Amino acid sequence: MIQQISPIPTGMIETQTIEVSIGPQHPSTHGVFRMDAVLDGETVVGLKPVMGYLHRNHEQLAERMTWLASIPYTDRLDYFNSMTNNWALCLSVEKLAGIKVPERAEYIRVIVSELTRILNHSCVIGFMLQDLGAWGTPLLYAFREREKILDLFESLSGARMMCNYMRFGGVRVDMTDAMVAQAKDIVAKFPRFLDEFEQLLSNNEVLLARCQKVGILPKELAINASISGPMARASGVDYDIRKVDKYGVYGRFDFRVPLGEVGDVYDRYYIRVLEMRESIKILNQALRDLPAGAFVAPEVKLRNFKIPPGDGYGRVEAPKGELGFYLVSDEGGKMPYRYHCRPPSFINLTTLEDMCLGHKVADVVIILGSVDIVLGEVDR
Amino acid sequence: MGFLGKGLFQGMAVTARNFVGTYFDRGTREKLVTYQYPEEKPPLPENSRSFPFLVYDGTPDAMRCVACKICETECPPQCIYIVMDRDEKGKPQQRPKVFDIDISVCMQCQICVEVCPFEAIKMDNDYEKSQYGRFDDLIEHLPDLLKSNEYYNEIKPTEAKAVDAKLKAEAEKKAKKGTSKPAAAAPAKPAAPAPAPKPATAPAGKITIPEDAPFTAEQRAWLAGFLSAGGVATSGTGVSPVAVAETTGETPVPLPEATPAAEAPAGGWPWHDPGLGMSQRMDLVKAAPLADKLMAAMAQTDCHACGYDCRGYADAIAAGSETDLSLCLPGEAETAKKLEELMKEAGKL
Amino acid sequence: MIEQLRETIAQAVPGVTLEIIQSTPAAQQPALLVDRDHAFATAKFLKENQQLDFCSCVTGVDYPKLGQIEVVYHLYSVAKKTGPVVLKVRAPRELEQCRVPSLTPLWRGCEFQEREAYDLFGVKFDGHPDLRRILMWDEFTDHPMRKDYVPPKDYEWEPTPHDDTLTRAVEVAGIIPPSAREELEKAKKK
Ligand code: SF4
Ligand code: SF4
Repeated sequence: MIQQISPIPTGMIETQTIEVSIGPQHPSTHGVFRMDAVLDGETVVGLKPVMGYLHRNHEQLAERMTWLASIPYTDRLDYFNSMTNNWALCLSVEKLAGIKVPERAEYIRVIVSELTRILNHSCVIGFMLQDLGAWGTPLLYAFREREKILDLFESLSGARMMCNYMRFGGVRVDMTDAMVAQAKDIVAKFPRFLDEFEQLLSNNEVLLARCQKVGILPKELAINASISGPMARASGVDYDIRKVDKYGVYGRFDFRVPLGEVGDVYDRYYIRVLEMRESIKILNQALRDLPAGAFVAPEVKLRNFKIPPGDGYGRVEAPKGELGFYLVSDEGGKMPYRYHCRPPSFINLTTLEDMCLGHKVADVVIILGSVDIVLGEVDR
Repeated sequence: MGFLGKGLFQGMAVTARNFVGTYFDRGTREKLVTYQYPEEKPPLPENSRSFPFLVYDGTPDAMRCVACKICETECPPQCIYIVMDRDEKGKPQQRPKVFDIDISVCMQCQICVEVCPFEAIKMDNDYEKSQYGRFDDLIEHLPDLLKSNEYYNEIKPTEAKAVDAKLKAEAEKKAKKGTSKPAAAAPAKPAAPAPAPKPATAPAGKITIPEDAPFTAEQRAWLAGFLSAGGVATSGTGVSPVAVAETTGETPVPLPEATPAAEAPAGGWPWHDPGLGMSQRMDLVKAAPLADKLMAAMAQTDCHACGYDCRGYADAIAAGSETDLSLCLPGEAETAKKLEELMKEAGKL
Repeated sequence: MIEQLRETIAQAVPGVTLEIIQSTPAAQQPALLVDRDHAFATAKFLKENQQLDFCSCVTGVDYPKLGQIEVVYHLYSVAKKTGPVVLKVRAPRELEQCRVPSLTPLWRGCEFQEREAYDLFGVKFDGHPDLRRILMWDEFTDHPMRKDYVPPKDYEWEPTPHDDTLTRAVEVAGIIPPSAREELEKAKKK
């Protein structure tokens, strides 16, 4: 979109570009995040994301403690989706150590992860509209629905957001029948809310005018810049780790991967609505087929858990994109020698400048909103 | 799309519907989702967790925690601080003197609860912990942390019931073991002594091993040490496994090579008593083989902090399968130092 | 699989040294260790001929025992839905010589991740368009993910103009900070 940059009119009035620092304390940046924007009038001609305000070196912390002790820390990465974060770490560790997860645990993992996806996407949409100026209403509707899922998470894991629910080889507590019924209830009622949400938003003229043809991300660039998750799929990249890797028991469920055509903000909004509908499908199947049995592999020790020397990379499709952990274990094997987290929202910011160039400042806010970042994960 | 602005009208209709809907379904809380917080608290699910507390049975003195420090080592942000209680002579008392949790650091992860082998620490669900001070007020000390088992049963009925049942079963098993063991060892003499009287006060009876007893020189040496140490076997009625062996002609004596790691010999290991001090324990094993010496250097709590029980850890070190000598948490530096010393003495380090 | 790939690369990129590094027995993700001089050519070949169009994860690993820092690239193929191919490049640990070619010209996705590796490990990526610190602040001088990094006692201390104000407060107005007060009182008692 670089061609859209308006040239500085020569011979008329002399103008200058100005540098504006948006953030780090700004409601539209979803946390302490800064964008150094170079503006020509109202048009963005340059933009550099600046992060690190929330940096706590999660990786180094993890390298100084046992494998088990870093699970609660992953909750704090993307604090909306602690379940998928837990899963990503557990999956990587299980890959390295060759642990087989019992069937029931796999199903429970799928259930909580898909609920997390719904929770995340509905909130993202709410926040995105907040960025547009749809003050409050959609966000609070989304939060109302989210609360029901969080109630389930609380009765399941003990906490609403910092679930710390998964363990190597399974999950920490079993899902009782009452909880399954509660989950079924949520899943049964959710489509109605989605319909309502769409009625409220999808055809809204203001939304269309503000979102369509804004912040276009071409497909080639999306692949080349390692963009993942709904953002890549909105640009038409047919890549969903649930389909490609078939980790856990995802191979058994029947669902589609929705794809966008244009790759603009509206596509990124709509993709999430569609993904929620697909998640409902998966949830219905998983809740129906949930087998009985152990919920954690009995041979996995909680303490003095060791991994043979070597390295490996495991990844899951988190709601924000590909969340992976690259782990290296050395002779001792009690603690990670190297622990690297590949955060989706950090890498998805790579193309922020490309998407913003040529648009007005007001659009930058909504483009950033459509990337869907959580600073706990960007800065780690 | 129809006319311009249709989408806007549709949206308005949705908001209107929701607005009106707020006033219905009050009973089911389907629509009305606000709690008037300080007056009206939302019910907490059983699994809900806030900060850990220590459980005691009956009186606060009877706390379950044995100060094994497993939770202290495993706690991810290292917010637990434990000092083991000792009497004037420095004997460990198997309970904490200081047990602090810094709740400004605790991240409510429940890992301490999961790793505790004694069901001593549990998650509370009291979340109203605001204080006026930033530092000292936010550290919970032992008296604040101790809560009764009844309280635990109240906040987490299912979980607590399961724990109670488990503890009861364990206690029964222990009681059974305690009575059946000596009986099996000395069937002829039912009046076997209590499993672990204080050897320090017991008179060390002198028992000589008959010349014709079927022992090798090494076994003989070990037995001599075992007996002269004045353990269970020589106190009270003076019945020892050896004496039984003599009379019955069998050899149920726990010989060092033949002993399976986890099974205690008939009379128990005299030094396997956390009430003894390190020097007393070492006295008991003066002539014993390395594995027993190593075992006597442990804290004798069988807390599994090292991943074994005290016997197993000693055997693993002696066999060379475990090289880390610092795994005994309740024994602290004292044990680690002693282990190193013993290994050096034995020429294995 | 990896053997084949190694052969193909060896034919396509003359002079390249390739070594296969095994992962844990369970993970089954053997890696290709490529020498620094041919890393870019190898990566280019992998991208263009093997359709590995998605560079998922870039990170560094410090090996003080080997005296080297390793940069690990995890490559996937979106077109063929295969992967990962793990590419490793090693460089000496000394800050001046710790340089590897940047793969950002091939995959934009490396841009932030290589900046992160530079920031945390001190690996310089030759050919990176914008190699600056990304997570730590610009004035920070160390590389915190190196194994020999010693964190400062007071994490948040950095020189600020406020220091001067404090010193002046002590000197001129006689305001004594609480930390110094105790010592002063002790000295008085003596
Ligand atoms: S782990 Fe040990 S020290 Fe911690 S509460 Fe349990 S018994 Fe006490
Ligand atoms: S809940 Fe977690 S952070 Fe808190 S004391 Fe227990 S182990 Fe430590």
